[in-house]
Amino acid sequence: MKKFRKKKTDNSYCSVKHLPEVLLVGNPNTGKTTLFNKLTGANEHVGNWHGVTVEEKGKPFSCGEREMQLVDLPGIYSLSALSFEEQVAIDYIRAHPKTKIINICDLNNLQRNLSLTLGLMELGADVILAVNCMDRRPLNRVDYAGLERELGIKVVEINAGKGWGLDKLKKLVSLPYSPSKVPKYVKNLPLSVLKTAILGKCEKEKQDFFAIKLCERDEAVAAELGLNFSDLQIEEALIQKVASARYEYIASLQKRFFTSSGKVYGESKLDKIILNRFLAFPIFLLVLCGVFYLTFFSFGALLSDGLNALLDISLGSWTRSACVAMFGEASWITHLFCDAIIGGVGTVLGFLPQVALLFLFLSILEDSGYLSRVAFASEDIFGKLGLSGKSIYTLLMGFGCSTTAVLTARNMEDKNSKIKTALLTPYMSCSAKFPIYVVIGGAFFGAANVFVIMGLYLLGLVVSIILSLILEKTVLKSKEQSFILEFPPYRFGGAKRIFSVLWENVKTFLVRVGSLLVSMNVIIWLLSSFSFDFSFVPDSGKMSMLEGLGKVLAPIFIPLGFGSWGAASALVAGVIAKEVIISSIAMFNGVSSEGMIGSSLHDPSSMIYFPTTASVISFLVFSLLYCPCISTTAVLGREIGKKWTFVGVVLQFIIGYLVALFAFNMWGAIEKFGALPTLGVLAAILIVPLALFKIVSAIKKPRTCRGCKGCK
Amino acid sequence: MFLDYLCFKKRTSLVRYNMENLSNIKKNRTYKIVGYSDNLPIKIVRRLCDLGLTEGESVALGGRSLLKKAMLIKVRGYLLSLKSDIARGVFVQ
Repeated sequence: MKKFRKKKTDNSYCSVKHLPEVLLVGNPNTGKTTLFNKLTGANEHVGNWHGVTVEEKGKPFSCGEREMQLVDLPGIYSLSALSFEEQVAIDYIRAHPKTKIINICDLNNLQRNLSLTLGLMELGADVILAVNCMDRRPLNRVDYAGLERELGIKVVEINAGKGWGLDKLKKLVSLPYSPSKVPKYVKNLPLSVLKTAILGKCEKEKQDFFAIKLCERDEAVAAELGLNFSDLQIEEALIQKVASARYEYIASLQKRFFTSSGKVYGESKLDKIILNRFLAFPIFLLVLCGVFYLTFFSFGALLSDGLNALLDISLGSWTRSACVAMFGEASWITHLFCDAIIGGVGTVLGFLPQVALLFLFLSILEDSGYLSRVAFASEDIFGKLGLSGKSIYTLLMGFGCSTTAVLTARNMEDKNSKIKTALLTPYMSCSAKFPIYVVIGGAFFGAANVFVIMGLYLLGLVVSIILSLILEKTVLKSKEQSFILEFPPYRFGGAKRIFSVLWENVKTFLVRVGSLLVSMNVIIWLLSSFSFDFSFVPDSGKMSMLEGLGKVLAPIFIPLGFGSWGAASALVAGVIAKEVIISSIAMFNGVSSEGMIGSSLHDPSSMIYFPTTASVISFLVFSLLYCPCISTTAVLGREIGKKWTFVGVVLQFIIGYLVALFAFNMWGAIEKFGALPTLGVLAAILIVPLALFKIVSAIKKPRTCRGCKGCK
Repeated sequence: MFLDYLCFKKRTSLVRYNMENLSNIKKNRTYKIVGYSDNLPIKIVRRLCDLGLTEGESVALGGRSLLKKAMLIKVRGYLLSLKSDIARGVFVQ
């Protein structure tokens, strides 16, 4: 992590390596990604939160006549990293020394932002200062010309959101490379001793930068130069001297070139309620419940039912009649289209409104700046679990899609916290698992399905909390984290932003359904319709390939109550993508609409059926917990390493199996003996050992004094 | 017995500071930073200095979390949150 290596941009853009690069550097949450999107026409994820961008992303853009590669980097506060995504940015900057840097500053927060600008000027980089005005009522006003004269670097005023000032910025970017002068206060710093120590170890222009970094006791730089801090005997207070020198210079700039209103940036009257010590977390829980209710039950369900009806009438029956007319009832093409594609995929397609709504609400939460307050409120609780308040962002995004959520675990400062956060994300029931609960649960529980779904989400949370506690106490102890987080002001994006987010999510969903789900369904249909000697199963009556494979795995699931090969195959297919579980069930049972799937699950003659409600519960619990989808597993492998990904996935299988087994038996016991006796026995089994353990440990613990004022 | 009760209730950490530190600041008052404790890790001191918590800078309390493990301060015209354990290492007047 400490080496300055050239990192390959491993994203979907083809990074054209011979184009000159321009880096976007700045404090977190200042508008870098927004500017990146505006200049390159990309559509990267933005949000009003400290760690939205976690990796470098490059895309070409035209700058007058020239084409250049614009690289968006995660936000940094200085050229010394504290968390993983900052290290990514700093490594990139150091690995590309002669590239232009656009330093984006927030107009309302110039003091702190300029500290980074001065740090970049100490490095001798070619810096263009772009002051971004993000709010309608700016707190400061700046004399740009004066600032430009004083600092010796180009300064331009922009509004990244609205796209103002971009032409002037492009003109400045297309100027030839000219390194900036070292700032004036550097002369007054006591660097001479350090400079003699590093003579000959680096280029002359970089001597000031390296000397300052050694003053700040940056271990990465010391390692790069091959020096040891104990040999250099640097005074500890030098860190503060360097920072004071920078800020005194900024104060002098402020006197001459800015006028500020004196208000605190980010402070809001709403915070009196939202940040109240006792109300903060309950308010968050209320907001979360509200989001889930609106998405999954009231408004979202309405839209979903409407869409399902539309699809049934239009696509389902039309395709069936067209296929029968063209190819005949028994032809394999008819089966392929009607069962595999329309039947299977159509079921999932009906959930489009709810998935789109969920992502929309999550993006509104992100943009509003409320997440920082949530992180603050949950810091205490998460601290006890060995996580940090910053994990709340990852876990919340996990309710949408685990793959994108796991990437954001880079916000963590401590490696073990990052691993824990990433491993816990799949337990947050993602949007792909929701169709499973609605269809299968709805068939057996009717209106009470609301409680079942709520219970499943809660179960995911509870299991993840217990797992985190166990990991914290045993193998993944986290170091004390600093939780240094800046609070942005509350922002509410306009209608345009809402529509563009909605449209993006609808598009992504349709692409995913159209490509991955259709192809998966076709593959499963092929496997289930053709036997090992490639004869069509409905005609020849032989055992299909899938049945053969499924029967091998089915016995594993007999203790869980659903030992049919169809269910086993659906779960295996679900390893690729969770939506495939429900679409393959629809396909196996030969139904094309939600209502029909429900009734077919009761019917013992269907390929997949559940004999008792207990088996339904255990199936739902197993599909909630058993393993992350393949894209999440791939991202986990990249983020936390193959060893921990393997451990995490295996753990999920084991936990999923055990919890499903427990749920099956408990539900069966409740059905047989009634709720009260079963819960009573359960409470007795859990509470008695716990009580015994507490008593024994209290007796064993020696009485320690906690250091009060005077002990007699 | 009363002292026992005090011992039980106070739960102060064993390290005591003579000067006031950032975790003890009260509402509606402005304080000036005077220095850092030796107990704070260098990385944290460097980061706090980069964020603007330099000697002589004025700070005020913004809020606290439920168990008082995290706190919000107003410094250099913006809101910053940090853990109380770290704030304990910053001396103020």
